[in-house]
Formats: sequence, C-alpha cells, structure tokens
Amino acid sequence: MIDLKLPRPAAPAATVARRADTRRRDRNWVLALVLLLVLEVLYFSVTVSGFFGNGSGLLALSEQFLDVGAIALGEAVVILAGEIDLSAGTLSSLSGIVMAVLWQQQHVEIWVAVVIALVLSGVIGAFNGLVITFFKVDSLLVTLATQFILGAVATALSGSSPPYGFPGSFVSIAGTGTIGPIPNQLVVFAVLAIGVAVAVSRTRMGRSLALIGYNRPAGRYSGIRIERTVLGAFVFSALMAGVSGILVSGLYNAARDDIGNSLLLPAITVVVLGGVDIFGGRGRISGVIVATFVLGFLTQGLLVAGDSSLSATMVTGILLIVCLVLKIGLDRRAGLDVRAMLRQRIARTSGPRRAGEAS
Amino acid sequence: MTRTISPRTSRPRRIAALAGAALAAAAMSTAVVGTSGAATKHAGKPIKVAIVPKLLGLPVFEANVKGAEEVAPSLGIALKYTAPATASAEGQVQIFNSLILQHYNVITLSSDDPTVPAPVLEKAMKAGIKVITFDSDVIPAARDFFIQDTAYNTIAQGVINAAEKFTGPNAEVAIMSSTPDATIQLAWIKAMKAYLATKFPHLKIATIGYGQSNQATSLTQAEDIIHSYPNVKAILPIDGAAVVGTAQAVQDLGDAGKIGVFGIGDPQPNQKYFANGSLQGLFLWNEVNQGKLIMYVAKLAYENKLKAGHAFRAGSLGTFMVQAKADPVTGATRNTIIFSKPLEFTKANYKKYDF
Repeated sequence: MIDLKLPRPAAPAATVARRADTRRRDRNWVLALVLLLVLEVLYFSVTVSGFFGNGSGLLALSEQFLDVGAIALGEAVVILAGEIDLSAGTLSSLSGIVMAVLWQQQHVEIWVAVVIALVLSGVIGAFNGLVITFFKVDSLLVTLATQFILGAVATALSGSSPPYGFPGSFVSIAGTGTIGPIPNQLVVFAVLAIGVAVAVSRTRMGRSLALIGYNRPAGRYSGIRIERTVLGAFVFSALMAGVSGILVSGLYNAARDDIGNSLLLPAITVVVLGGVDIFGGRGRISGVIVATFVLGFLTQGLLVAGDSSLSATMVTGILLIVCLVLKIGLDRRAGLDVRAMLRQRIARTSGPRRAGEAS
Repeated sequence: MTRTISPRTSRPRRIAALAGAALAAAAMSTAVVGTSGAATKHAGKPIKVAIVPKLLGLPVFEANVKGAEEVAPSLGIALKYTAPATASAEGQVQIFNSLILQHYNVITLSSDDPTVPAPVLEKAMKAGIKVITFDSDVIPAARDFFIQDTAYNTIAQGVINAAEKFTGPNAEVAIMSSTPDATIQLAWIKAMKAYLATKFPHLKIATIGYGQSNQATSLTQAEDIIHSYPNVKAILPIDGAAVVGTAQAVQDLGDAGKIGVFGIGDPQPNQKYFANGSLQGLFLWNEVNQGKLIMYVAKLAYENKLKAGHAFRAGSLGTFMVQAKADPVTGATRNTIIFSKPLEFTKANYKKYDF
C-alpha cells in the first residue's frame, strides 16, 4: 500500500500498473455502453412505431442530440485534464448569435461569419485557459464567471428579435440537410468524434491530458508542459462549443441568445456516463461518443413512444445513477478501495495540486 | 505492494447483467410514469390532436387544457397534452419532432419562441399535419392558424378605463411589465399609450418597471416605484408575476386603497389581494373557453373547413372570424382568430373563476 500512504509523488511503477488496470476496466465500460445502446435501439425499434423509420428515421433522430454530443467532446477533453468548463453552453449560444448578427446586420457572407464565430470561440477558450493557468484560479470558478459574461453579451447582441432565416445552403449543410439517408450533422459529428478520439488516445498531447488529470506533479516531472496542455484543452472545448452553436442555429434556422444554455448539463452527463472520471485522469473518448447516442436515443425513444418530456428527463437521471453505482460497484469488486480512492482524489484535486505546482 | 486484483470470472455475463439492469430500470420507470395524455377512444377514426403549451403546470395553460379536454370527446378528438418541464423552445422542438413521427393530425401550441420551432413546424405541415398556435405565435409561415387571446387595443382600453375611474383624468400612473423585449407586453404598452394620447391626454405614464416575470423582482421594482414616484396614483402590472409582486408591495407599504392596482392576469392566484383591497381590477380572457375553441379550430382545420376572411361557428362559444389580413390595431396577423373580448375581474366577481 505504499502508493496510498505516501502522498506525493506517487511511485511511478505502481502508477503504471494501476493505470493499466483501470484502462482495462474503462474498455469494458465502453463495451457495456455499446451493448446497452444496441439493446436500447432494438427495444425501441420493435416496440415504438415511428422510431426506426427504415433506418433513415433512426438516423434523422440523431439531429436532435448531436449538439449535446459536440459540447460533450470538448467537455470530455477538459474533464480528462482534471478541469471543467461551465461556459461551454453559453458560448454555444454566443457563437450562434455572433454568426447570425454578423450575417444579418453587417451583411457578412454566412460562411465567413461562421469562421469568425469559431475564431472568437477559440479566443474565449484561450482567455479561460490563460486565467486558469497563469493566475491558478480554479477552472470551476473562472468558467462560472465567463459563463455569465458570455450569456449577457449574447443577450445584448441578439436584441429583442434575434435573426432567423439563414441562406438555404447554410441550413442544408450545417442544419437539416442529408447525404442519402445520413444527416449532414451526423457526418460533421462523426468527423469531429473520430478526430478527437484519435487525438486523445494516439497522440502525445492527448495522452498527457489524462496524465495531468490523474497526477499533475507526476506529469510535471515527466516533462509535460502542463499550462500549455490545459490551455489547449480549453481552446478545444470552446471550439467545440462554437461548432455546437453553429449546428443548433442551422438545425433551427434561427439564433437565440439562450439556445445553447440547456446543452451544458446533458453534455456533462454524457461525459460522465461515457466513463470519464469527473475528477479527471481516466476515461475514453469512445465511451463519450457511445454515451451521446445511448442518452440521445433513450430520450428520443421515450418521446416518440409518447411519454412526456418530464418522464424522459427523469429516466435520464435514473440511468445516470444506476450506471454510476454499477461502475463504482465494479471498481470495488475489482479490489479497489473506493473510499481510499475518493480520499486520494480529493487530495489530488485540492491542496496538493497547487502545492505541487508551486514547487 | 499494489492491491490484489480479484479474478474476473465471466466478465461478459457481468456486462450483460449491468446493461440489462440499466435498461430494465429505464423501461420500468417509463411504465410507472406513464403519460399525461388523455387519449379518448372514439367510434370511427379519432382525430389525433396534441396540445403543447409553453411548459407543464402553469395555471393558465392548465385551464386551457381543462377546457380542451371537456369538448375533445364530443368532437371525435383523441387529445394528448404534453409540454416541456421548463419553458424551452428546444424542448418544444423535440416534442414536435416526436409528434410528427407519431403521425398526429393536428398540433396546437403556445410557442416559447417565434422562430426556433419554425423549421420543425414547417416539416409537420409538409407531412400534412395542421399547425395551430394559440396565446404566443410563431412566424406566420410556420403555422396554419393563430388563436390570439384578445385584441391588443381592447385589453389596453379595459385596463386604462378602469384605472382612470380610480385616479381621475389628471394623474400619474406607472406600468409594471415583464422584460423590455417581451412581445405581447410591448404591444399592450403601445396600445395603452395610443389610447391615453387620444382619450386621456392628462393621464401620464410616470415610469415603466420590469419585474422579469419574477415575483420577488416585481415586488422590489414596485416598491421602488412607490418610493420614487410619490405622485403615482395607480400601478398597472401587465404580467402574471408583476400582478402578484405589485399587489404585495402595495399591501406591505400600507397603501392598499390609496394606490390603485389594475392589471392583466388571472384571478385565482390573486384572491387574497382582491380580498384585502390591495388589488382593484384584473383583465384576462376565459382560459377554459379558449381551450374549447382550440379544439373546435383543430377539428375544422383538420377537415379543411377554415378559410381566411370567413366566419365559422364553434359550438356554444359562438361565431368567430378568420382574419385575412394583418391589423396593427388589434395585433392580428394573417389567418388569425381573435378569441374574445377581455373579461374583467373585480372584488365582486373574482370568486367565480377557477383559473
């Protein structure tokens, strides 16, 4: 139990062994989610008429939740690094509003407006990241603050009648268009999702994300530039929020100053359901991708079955609790002392992290 | 030493059990929660109509639904009541999408946003579904008919006339609204100003407060008005939360009867203010009857019997007109049906209404 008693730094050999072990369990979690997804889609396809719709109906349903998925991709990267980004929802709103206002009031070409909105999102992410890394303020507090600022700016920009009725090409490509039976939004999401999954699991930058989320001082000793990596994570999260804002605006053919605000909590739910440790350091992007569809099809399936949105929301909560309890149960059965892990996590995310960074 | 790892026996089975348990939990809870729909079996093929207010549980919408449920069976309508748990345009869009897939014949809604649901409603119309808005409209291209609560000018005149009787023609009044960009409140304020200018030029609006559709904010805003504008003889709250906040402020500051409160809102949540004299008059329409009208319009629209510029009969409710053209005075747009003249609630009659 050396690694549990000695506070820091954790013994590298033990860390490596434990990480190999958790990696295996995380892979099994993703497999369990895939199985859950298959069962769920089968269940609704058989019992709910209108859900499957010859396959194209099923694919079209995904348009209703891919905006959450885009935010979840960015949020997953930030959470892996042991941080959190609460500003992603309002940034999504702001991105859509900026694009729409530039197009309507400044007569900027719509795709140029999209690029400007995304660049602005990236800059806002960099601002978040810089405040967090330079001033060592907790990301929870920084992004809580920027969330209010961004929401206020979005409301101010949108005025009393937010823009709507974008050019048809934009609405088709970013919104409701399809390639054969496949919605364009699904194509966009697939490209982003695969890109993020590969970047996180196969690149040095990606692997260092999880390591600094798991054990920041160890990451520092192994030569990872922690500030730069965290900054990158926030820029990326902001870009994904920006993309989500564009997708939502395309889907609804309208911008609204609070349209993305309600996406944040479902996105965090998806990340956690996908098996990413909310304290960082552990999890797989593939899990987050599968969880996007598990949660999305569950909600849509219940709605198409004629259940009220109230019961769909309630089932989401139940599913999350059941899954998390099962996951902790599995960890315990695997011989991990959950209470010791929790103690360690708390130590890792509060005092010692800053002490370690100051040294 | 690292901890020992227990041998993993039969992992696939454990995963299956876990997935199965989660799914079972999901399925079970659905069965328990059920739906809030009031589908009624009817001889022949019932018309499938959904009523989707801005959110679940708001008294005015519950009153609409009550009226709708009363007449639906006699019209051969299988009615479903569903809405988001919080007022959210995106939540409504998801519901409309699911209603299209369930092949509803008519969707009726009070919209949380004028533009966001437009694409999905247009998709519904393309699929042959009739779309009818009530209370809060969407852009006219995205619906077949709009049932407007009441004409803007008549409700504005009702409130001003009642206030003028209390204050006299040479006085100052204040308005308590919801938010500076709320469409209906803006239209009502405009109509009030127009009416004041022609009828009571010496009755001045001293200020407009904004309670943000929140009772606590409305209360402090109303108190501020009373303190800062001592000449104000009447306050006109024109939003549900503003009515409660304003009446409470007048009561708290001991001004009941000295400062008149005349507003737009439903009587039931404000009974105690009527009783203790801190609220003199409220204007609204009969929400239960409006719910009935929604069902008549749904049936007639489904049967393609509604034409712009023509009148139609809605059972015991009487005859209504489908407006062909926009009218800035009443607020009507294309294919609008104005439901009623406002009802006036006073200390004498407030107990008769259950909304």
